Amino acid sequence: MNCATARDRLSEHALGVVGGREADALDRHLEWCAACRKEARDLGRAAAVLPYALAPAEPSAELEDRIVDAVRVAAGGGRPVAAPRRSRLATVAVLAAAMAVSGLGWGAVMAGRASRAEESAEAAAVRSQRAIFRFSEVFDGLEFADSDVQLGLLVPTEIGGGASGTAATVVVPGANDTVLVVMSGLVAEGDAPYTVALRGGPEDSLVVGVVPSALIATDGTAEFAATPVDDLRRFDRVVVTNTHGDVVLRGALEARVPVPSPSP
Amino acid sequence: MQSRNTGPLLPTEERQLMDALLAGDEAAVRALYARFGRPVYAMGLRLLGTREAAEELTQDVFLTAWRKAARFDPSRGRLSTWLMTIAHNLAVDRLRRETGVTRPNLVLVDEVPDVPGAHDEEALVMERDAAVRALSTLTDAERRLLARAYFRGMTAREIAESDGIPLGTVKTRLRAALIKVRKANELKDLV
Repeated sequence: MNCATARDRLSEHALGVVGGREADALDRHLEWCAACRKEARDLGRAAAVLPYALAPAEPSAELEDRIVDAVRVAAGGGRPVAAPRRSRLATVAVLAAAMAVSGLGWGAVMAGRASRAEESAEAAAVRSQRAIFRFSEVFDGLEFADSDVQLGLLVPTEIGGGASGTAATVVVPGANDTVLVVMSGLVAEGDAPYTVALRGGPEDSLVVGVVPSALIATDGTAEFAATPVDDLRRFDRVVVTNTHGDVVLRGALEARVPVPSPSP
Repeated sequence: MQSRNTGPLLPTEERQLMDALLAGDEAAVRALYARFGRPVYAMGLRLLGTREAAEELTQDVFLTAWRKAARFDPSRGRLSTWLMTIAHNLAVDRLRRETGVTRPNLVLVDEVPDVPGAHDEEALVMERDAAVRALSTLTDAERRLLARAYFRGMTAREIAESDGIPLGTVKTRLRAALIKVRKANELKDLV
């Protein structure tokens, strides 16, 4: 992209309406062209004035605390200080619901405008942080004392296309361990059934579930929970294969969620 | 850390605030929220149409700011510009991605009331006053034009096709309007 072409799009760029490859090309131009960068910065400053002129709107009183908690958790500060106190809910149902939200959110991002790759990745990273925060909220107040929860976001392989997902293992001493997986972007016809396996060492693999086409919703989403008899603690990866044996999704179980003792 | 909630921040204060944000410092998050939480929320409400989506956006903006905090460079622009650009990009991206999102009504920025919110921080009131003053230098047509691009995510081509005017004319007008706002806003910084 030359300067004339870049200048032609800088106003729209400042107003946030240039997308796709054009935005990428413009960004690359701005990296090396100081003159256009200055112009872009000036126009960007002007555009950033606009939201301040909007009529004031008052968010809910809880938003500030939620944001404080979210940043604290994201920054590794552990358990949120102002997490809502929840009643003792059906653990798996709540967990699965939380995963559906986070998993689908991630999927929507990945399936979004792939042409704006950088922004989608940006938004996806935010989603993953939010997902982890949601999980920590869900766990707070539940009877999970001494349990060990690991989370992982499942990302598609080249074959996986628009698929995505979230997985969690819940290891509870003295009880059956649970694995939960939520996926979106699945193709019921031709690719199902999908097989979900946990992996530990090089030879250590455990198939925990099969997702037949009947369990895949029309929007390409599916979720399941399983309680295999094995101790799940040793597994740190999740792999999803299609009916042809091709890996479509994979992810590492790495985000260890602090699980506090139940609230008094 | 303690941070002033009144008056514009100096570049060194902005950098300190972002360093504290990066560390997850609660006071820093609250200081940032006091200054930028409501404008980000208001933008989300206009672009995304529901309180829930606007609150979600606001949370996403702060998480993104935390992730990018180390990259914030006060010598390259003000914190408010940096944050609002993050907010706008996330909102427009979502607006375009989600087909079911409630479309906002066309925003006319001259609908802004003269009386600021009772609970607003002084710094926010100053920003709002400056913005209203800057936009008052525009004609109604220029304000509408900027609003259609910025708050509705319409490209110059979409505006040109909608209004039946040449694409080049729309681009020229967008740029002229932004430059007017920039100049008016620069005057504010000199006051």
